[in-house]
Amino acid sequence: MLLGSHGTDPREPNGNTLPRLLRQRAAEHGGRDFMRAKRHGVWTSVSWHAALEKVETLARAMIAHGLKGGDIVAVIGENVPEAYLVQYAALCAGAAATHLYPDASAAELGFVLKDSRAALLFAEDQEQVDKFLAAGDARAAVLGVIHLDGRGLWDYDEPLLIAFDRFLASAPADASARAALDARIAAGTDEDLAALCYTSGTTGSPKGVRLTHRHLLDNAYRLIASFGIAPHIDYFSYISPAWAAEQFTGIGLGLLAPAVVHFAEKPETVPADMREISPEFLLFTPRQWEMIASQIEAQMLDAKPMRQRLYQWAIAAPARLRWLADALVLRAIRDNTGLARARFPISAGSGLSAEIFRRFHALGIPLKNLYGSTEAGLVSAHWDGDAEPSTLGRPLRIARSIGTPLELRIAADGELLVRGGAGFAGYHGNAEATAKVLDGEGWFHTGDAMHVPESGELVFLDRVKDMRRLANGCTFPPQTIENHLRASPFLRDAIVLGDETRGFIAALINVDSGIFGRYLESRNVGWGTFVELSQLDAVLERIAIEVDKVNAMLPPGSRIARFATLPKELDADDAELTRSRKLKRDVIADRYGALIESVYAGDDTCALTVNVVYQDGTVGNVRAGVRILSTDAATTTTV
Amino acid sequence: MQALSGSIDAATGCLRTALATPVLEARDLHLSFGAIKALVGVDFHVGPGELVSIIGPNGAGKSSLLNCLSGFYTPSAGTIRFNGEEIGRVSPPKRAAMGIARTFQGIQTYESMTVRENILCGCHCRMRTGLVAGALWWGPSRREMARFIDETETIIEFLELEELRHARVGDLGYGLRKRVDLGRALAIDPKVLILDEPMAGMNADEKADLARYILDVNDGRDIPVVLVEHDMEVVMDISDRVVVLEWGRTIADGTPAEVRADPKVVAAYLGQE
Repeated sequence: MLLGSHGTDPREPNGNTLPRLLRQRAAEHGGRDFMRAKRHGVWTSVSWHAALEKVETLARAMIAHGLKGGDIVAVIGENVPEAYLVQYAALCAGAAATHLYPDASAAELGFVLKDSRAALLFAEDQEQVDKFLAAGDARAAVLGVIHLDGRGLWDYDEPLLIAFDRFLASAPADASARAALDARIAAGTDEDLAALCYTSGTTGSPKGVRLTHRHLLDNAYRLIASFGIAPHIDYFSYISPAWAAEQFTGIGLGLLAPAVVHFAEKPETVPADMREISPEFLLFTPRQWEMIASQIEAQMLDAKPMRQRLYQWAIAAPARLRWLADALVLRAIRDNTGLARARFPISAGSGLSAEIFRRFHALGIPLKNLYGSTEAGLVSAHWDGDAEPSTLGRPLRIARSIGTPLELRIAADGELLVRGGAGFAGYHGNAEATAKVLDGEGWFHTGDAMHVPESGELVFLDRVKDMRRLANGCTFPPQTIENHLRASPFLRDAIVLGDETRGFIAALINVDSGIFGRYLESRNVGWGTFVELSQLDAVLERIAIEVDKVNAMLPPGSRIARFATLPKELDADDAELTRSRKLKRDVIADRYGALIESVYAGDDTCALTVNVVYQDGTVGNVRAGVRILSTDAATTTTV
Repeated sequence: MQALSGSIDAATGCLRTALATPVLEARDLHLSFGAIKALVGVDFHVGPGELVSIIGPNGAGKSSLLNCLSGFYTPSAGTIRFNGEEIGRVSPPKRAAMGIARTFQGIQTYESMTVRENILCGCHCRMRTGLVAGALWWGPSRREMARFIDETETIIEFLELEELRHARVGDLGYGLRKRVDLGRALAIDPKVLILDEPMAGMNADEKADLARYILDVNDGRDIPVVLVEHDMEVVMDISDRVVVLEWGRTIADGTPAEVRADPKVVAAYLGQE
């Protein structure tokens, strides 16, 4: 059980709705910048006053077009300020927004329109309008389609189409229209729906997660209070608000902190725009961080040899020379990637490899993991203490005006359960699905198998459905363990063994002969063939250290108890791997059956004979006395 | 983009076909080089919002006709009218200033300059402030420059060149350079756009891209286009009307479907059986 805490930051949601908060912020900050976007190559600002004015005009236009309280406004397109203003406007009108990723298909748009019964659709351009036109009977409930970019739509004969500017101009400005809007804003409560986020369910069709005003502001506060995010922080909005995390940051935190929300000119200009913005706070998925890392690597490969050596030295520089490395190399790299001022660069969505995580830290970029789910909101992050790449940090802090601190519990099967904060408001029109993940005591079942080591930070194991079970009932994440093992440079591959017929977890390891060649040379250890190398004391000792490191990240019941190193390299020619180097588990289990039986019989060695196919097509045999070692974990489990 | 689409009246589509007054018109045009008769009594016109293609075998007189329209050749007989005004003796730069924009075969962009600078060059003929004012950077010339930069950026957005605005044109591929060339022609704020074989030497993707932009210029900015192009597929796909020349004479003038079915055109292109 992990217990979170209450935040101390005074920017509490206090039962506010987003429209009331927007009016409050506009009154406080007036002429200051709320949003910045690049138009015609120049950064242009939208002040709080201008934003409020536009939002309320849009809201009056929406009401005039027949939008009722409780309706849904759908938005599809890239991240542009208008998409955010449209959501705020929909909220002012008592409705809610659902965003779609710009690359959503016509069928996906059709599904969302039908499921949410959206009354209005904001479609960025011709591409998105075409998807609507192809959506068939899902269009029935839509009263109007508003497009931002009229290019290519000149000849469209579709009565529902309205240009954004015309839609704005159609807003009634008389006193009664203003009063009607005021009444809707006054009538709103923080339990009203603010956004529907469709999750890409792995089974069945997507489910719309209901995010209330309270839920959005709760999660915005979790970030503000945990990280200590200052007012008017420069935030870069990149991922679509179809993602719940962007709803919490771009939409919620934008108002609550408040933040200055920046938008790129278009997806192709993101790297250049990011450098110009140099955001302080940004939220990317691991995929995007990987892309930035590989972009840096690619640019370094183009550099002159001297500069390459300087770079290699700088990222590995000892602490006392860190200032020099920073002045010569690292600062320039941070500046070039637009991360010079990044105080809160956050990775969320799935696991980022430890190697890339460490690379960013070596560059002086304090990357942080953030864990959450659409339903439970943001759960934990690296906000307190060191950012350890293999963990997801500690529970975030909750606003007192929202509710109790977060409670995290690991169920018997390893699943993480979460309770506290605003809680999960349920799936849209699907009480049955809601009941499956939200139990009577208010615990949300995340479906993620987690582990909390002594450090008190969450460690992700695997999705619960991918866990395997031992004879004693203990569950373990085979693929995660293998991935952790493979992350070590000394290992080329690893196969984790164990199922309901076995009492403990074992691993077969394919050592990396290239790395060990150099490692042994520096220790003056001689060796002849791979068979010899794989069974050397020095090699087995080193592998034992690597296995112990991985074990330390795992809960006691999921640790590797015994391991052996394979006397030959796993090879696609021997059908042990696919051509893309994926393990063929059944072939391996068959070829190394004798070794596996010895491992589980508790033997110290196994006389193994494996036939191999040489490059010229001849078949030979590898004979080896393979040594089997037990780890410290073996004493705690039943070997 | 919003401003663009907002300014375009939905009625232009209907207007286009109803209005008959041509924007650019040539009547009974004759041109000879010594004994060679390049043009023999050619009639040609392009109406408001029309996209007219000129096709014909090599030596048919396509480039001669374009050069007469843009003022590089003076026809030996015949009249050329622009919005009803006789312009047969007006010089090419003056015609450009009047709004007759033209791109040439091959690459005519300035390699060492950026995309934005190249397009900005197109505004040059529209400058009202002089050398002295420019050198002193007085208010009027500064304001004029700001206006041109804004127009240039609108064109960059229209041609989707944002991420390349500061890229050197010499570093770009052929297709992109032709797009920049088109952008520069748009910068003179044309009333009619003449494109001489813009797709020569392009691959299928580049052709499809450029065809899309030409259509957008024609539809979205409502600029009449005169296109000389060898790629029949593109011509038949995007043209409102096709004019076929052979040995300096017009042998057909009609919709792509009419021209395709015309026996004289089939004979000129495919040879008699």
